[in-house]
Amino acid sequence: MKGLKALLVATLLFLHLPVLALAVFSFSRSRLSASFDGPSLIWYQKLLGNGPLMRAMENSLIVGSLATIIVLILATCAALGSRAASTGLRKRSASVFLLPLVTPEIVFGASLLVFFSRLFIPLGLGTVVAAHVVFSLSFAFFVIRARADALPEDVEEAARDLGATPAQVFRRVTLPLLAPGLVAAGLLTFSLSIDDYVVTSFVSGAGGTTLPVYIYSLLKSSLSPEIAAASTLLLAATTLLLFATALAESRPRLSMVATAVGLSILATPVVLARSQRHGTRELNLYLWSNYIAPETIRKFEERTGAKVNLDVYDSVEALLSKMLAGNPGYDVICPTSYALAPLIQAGVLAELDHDRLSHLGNTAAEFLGQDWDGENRFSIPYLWGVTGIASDSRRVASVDSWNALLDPQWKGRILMLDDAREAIAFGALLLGADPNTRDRPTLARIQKILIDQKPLVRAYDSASFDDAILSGEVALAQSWSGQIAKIMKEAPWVRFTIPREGAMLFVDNLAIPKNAPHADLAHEFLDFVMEPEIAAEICLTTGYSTPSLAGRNLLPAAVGGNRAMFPSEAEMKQLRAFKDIGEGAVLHNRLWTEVKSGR
Amino acid sequence: MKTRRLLVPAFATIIVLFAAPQAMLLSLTGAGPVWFRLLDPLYAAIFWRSVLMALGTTLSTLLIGFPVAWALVRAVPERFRRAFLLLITLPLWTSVLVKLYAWVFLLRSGGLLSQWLAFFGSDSPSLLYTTTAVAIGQLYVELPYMILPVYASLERIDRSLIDAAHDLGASSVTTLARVVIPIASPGIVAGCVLVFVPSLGSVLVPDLLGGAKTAWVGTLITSQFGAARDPALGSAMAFTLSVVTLGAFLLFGRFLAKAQE
Amino acid sequence: MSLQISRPQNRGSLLVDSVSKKHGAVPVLEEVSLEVRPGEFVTLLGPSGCGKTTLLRLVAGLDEVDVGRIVISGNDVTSMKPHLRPVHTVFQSYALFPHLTVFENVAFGLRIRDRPEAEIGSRVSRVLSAVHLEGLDSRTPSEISGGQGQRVALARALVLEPDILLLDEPLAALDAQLRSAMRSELVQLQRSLGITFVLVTHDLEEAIECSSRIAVMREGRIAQFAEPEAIFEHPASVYVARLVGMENILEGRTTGMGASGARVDLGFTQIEVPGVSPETVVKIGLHGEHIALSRTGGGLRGTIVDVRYLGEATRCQVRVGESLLVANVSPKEVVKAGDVVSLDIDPSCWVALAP
Repeated sequence: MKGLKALLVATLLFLHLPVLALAVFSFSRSRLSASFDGPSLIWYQKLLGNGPLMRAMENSLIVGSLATIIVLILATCAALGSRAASTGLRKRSASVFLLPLVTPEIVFGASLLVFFSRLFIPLGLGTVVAAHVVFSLSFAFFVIRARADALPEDVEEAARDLGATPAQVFRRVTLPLLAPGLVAAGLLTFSLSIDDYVVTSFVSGAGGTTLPVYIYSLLKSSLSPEIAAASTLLLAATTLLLFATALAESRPRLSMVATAVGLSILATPVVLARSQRHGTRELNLYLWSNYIAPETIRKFEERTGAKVNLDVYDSVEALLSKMLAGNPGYDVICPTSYALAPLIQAGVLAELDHDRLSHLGNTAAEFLGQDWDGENRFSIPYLWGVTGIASDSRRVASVDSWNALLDPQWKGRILMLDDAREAIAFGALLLGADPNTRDRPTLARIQKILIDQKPLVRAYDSASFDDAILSGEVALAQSWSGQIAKIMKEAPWVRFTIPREGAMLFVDNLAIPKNAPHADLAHEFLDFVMEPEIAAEICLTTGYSTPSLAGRNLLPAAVGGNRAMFPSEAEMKQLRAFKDIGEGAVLHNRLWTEVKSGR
Repeated sequence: MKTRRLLVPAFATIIVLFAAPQAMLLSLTGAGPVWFRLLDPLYAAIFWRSVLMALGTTLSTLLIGFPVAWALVRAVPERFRRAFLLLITLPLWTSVLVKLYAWVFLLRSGGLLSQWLAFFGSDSPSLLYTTTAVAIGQLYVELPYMILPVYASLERIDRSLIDAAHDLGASSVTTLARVVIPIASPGIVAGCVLVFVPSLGSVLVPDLLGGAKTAWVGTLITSQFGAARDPALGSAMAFTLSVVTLGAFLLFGRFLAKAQE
Repeated sequence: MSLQISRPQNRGSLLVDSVSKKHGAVPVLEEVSLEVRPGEFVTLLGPSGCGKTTLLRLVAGLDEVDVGRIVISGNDVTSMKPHLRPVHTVFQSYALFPHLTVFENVAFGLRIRDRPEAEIGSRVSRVLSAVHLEGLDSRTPSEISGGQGQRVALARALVLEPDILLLDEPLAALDAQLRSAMRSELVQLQRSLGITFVLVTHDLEEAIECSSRIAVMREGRIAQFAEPEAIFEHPASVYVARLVGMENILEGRTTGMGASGARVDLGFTQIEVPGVSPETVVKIGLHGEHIALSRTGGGLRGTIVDVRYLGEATRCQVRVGESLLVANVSPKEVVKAGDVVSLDIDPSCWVALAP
């Protein structure tokens, strides 16, 4: 008995430890990675001022509630139908409901994306709700059916005998008796919906970013404590609501207070998200996560009186698959330079009206008229960065070559980006080959380098490489410059090197898709971000380098002179750019899969 | 009975939003060549590794989840059980991503757990990016989904059946093996399904906590729809995955039914 | 300390020695002692909540004794785990394993003991035929009737040849007809097997028909432990008297000692009752059957107030002086309300009752 109790306590501790740690650190002044420094409410303040995050929370709550209501109705009907059915039909219907249960999420997501795009159903919040309904329906069905089957039939007969109509029997007898099952099923559906990332990321369109999608894309650029604060708020609200239902009978007054507090916490993001919207004009942005600060969006809204919806993505592929399936309502997208070619070829992009882009002249010459978009007919450069080596200067004396990442001395202290193209570019640069090569023998040699390197590698991680350096987990990391530039502010011992073999340059551009619903406003936005003050602000808040010369001149010396953000002219000459490799992607991906799947 | 027709809306939903999309996904693969590419030993190895990981996760959650559910039924008085259940489900309301990120930060060098381990004399400075971390993460994510259905089935077992088994000469262990587990088997199967299926497609835990040093089915399929731009292959893989999963559970169910006879 | 060895003549004996048991702070059994001889059929009788089922569970070992000792067949089993005790139980709900067939339910205990397959087969079919369940081997508990379930539960316990068979309200869930049939079957089975039976019930008829002795329980104590006749004819207390349906419970005053016991004044008559403590106010009981009514005759006279036909007897309420007496007379007698009758009472039938 004692052993059992100890096990129970240990399990509860295990399940709550990370959640509690998160809650504690949401009150810390410093970033998640460092030690506790508080108490402080700074992240809660930031959270309330973060429009896109509030929108994402609002979306999650809307989707969760709608999906829950629809699922409860469908599942209750089905459970009652199944109860009335013959044994054979019962069994067959159970196996129909079983099918979605054993279907992996990824299959759900992929098939629904195909389905919606074939039927030309525009992606949006509606498609997300539909997807959530279908993947949680079975869970709810089985929970409610268990309850429905346990219902004694005679009480319903008794009610009918006492003169109740079928509707009255349902409302006054069946429904109250089913209630515990409905509550359990509702909670289950809501929690499945509010936590779904995989399916949602496939089927969400303009304005359909939910909290998990937002969080996941943030992971790629390091999680901010605002997320810890948001999670803590959500947890507090759900705890209150759950205990309110548990106390409903024994302590009705306490239960009502808990419900009121819980609901008002949940209502906050909805109210705030709505109050932060102005005007009738709208602009739908689809950007990399952390590629624009909430302040910047607010400035644009104040200037134009328009309402900005921000959706975010975490990989070029996510952007491509969405846009190639048909523009789901975006006005401005942010393709990386090598993604421009397929988008232009597919005719997805609209030509820009240069007359309305008065600030284009601020842009440094080396970013204009590049081979990915010769005359900037379709795009303007927005931010750029470099893939180089971040290192811990306290441990690693000097780094000047990619060979540092092959040095056995640092076995288990090396981190590589989890990205096929970056990995192959690393090998190509070492060999002096073309990083965009499709030549099989060259690729085979590159693969050999990667396989040989693997035992030295601590992790492949494109999400939190900056934290891994900051916490001392690794000493050397193949890194994107922006995140490293950001952490250099608090950790001056972090060093960023552009190796002598050269490094990869990536330029992210803004473009306007054809049939963008608000093309005029989109042009205003493009011109807005090229204003020197705004360009400088974006550069400061994202950590990535601005192509605007005028903007760069406005930066504080420490930032403008940061070599991680603005390499020397000699280093700039060494940089290469990723290009679209078309069918070559299949080959690259396969090589990378082989590297990963080896011992 | 007219009430049978109540099944129709839910069936329609499943046909339109589940069966039809699956069929479209299947049609995307076309005939022939894509399916041959599935026979590639590279994919077979990845698939097999994913199955092993999913099995390992299922087994370990069962080994811990069953005693926990049993403890809930036996050691917790009835009026406190709801509160305990609530406590077990509460972490499910926080995003998995966020919780895993919290684990990253508990497990890495200088993290809380590493500090504790160092205090107890362990020389490993960090658990992050190790197999242990993956095991902890998988257990953490899936454990509640095992405890809940197993608890539900254990709770329904009439106490007098356990008394009867003791009375007829069965020790506690024998009672568990011959009475409790067979009667709770629907709940155990449900728990296994709920854990196995998502584990098979799982990508987050091995990527975030394991350092993404191996390829898994989940990542493989996702990348076909993304980076590899090969949706036909992705669809074929996805379809195979669901067929295999379904087949495995049909067999498992058969096997259990046989074992009970 | 010498090891107690179970002697054959001891097999099937039960000694409950000053056993107390609390559920939380609530005492359920207080200093209960009970001695059952081998081969007896003892019934624990009482209303729900009197502690009879708890006592049974303590004997089975399903609950632990707080204070006191339990000895079975000469062995002290107080701290022995239930699965090691030579007693088996027929549960009120039958507790049939839903995942096993009838055959496997009965074979359960034998399989636990790793008996050879052949022995299991023969013993199970023997006991199944003893309880008239041939041919139901492969049914599951959900496919048989309540009465059959009851027999399976019986067979499952009996197949292990326990020293003592414990039965917890085994007939409560059956309909009246089946119940009386099963009652006589139980008695026959017990006689032919010679196994000690301890039965728990709240049904007086069942207790009287089946038992060799009845222990009447009240609020965690044994109120009276005696043969059925003694319990019925000479209940020791008001509580037992009410339980056995004694219609007349009267208050009287002692006025001194007579030849055959204390002299008691009931108001309308004076009687002598043995075993009355010399207190001034006492309770006296009398079964209605022991009052004969006649239209003529002297002695005690009264007026019939109410007549009710009960089938086997006719119940008459008779006013005698200030008191109301109930007499059960043969239905052949023609009586009606308002008749003035004389009452004939066998003086030896008056029973003194402890309060």
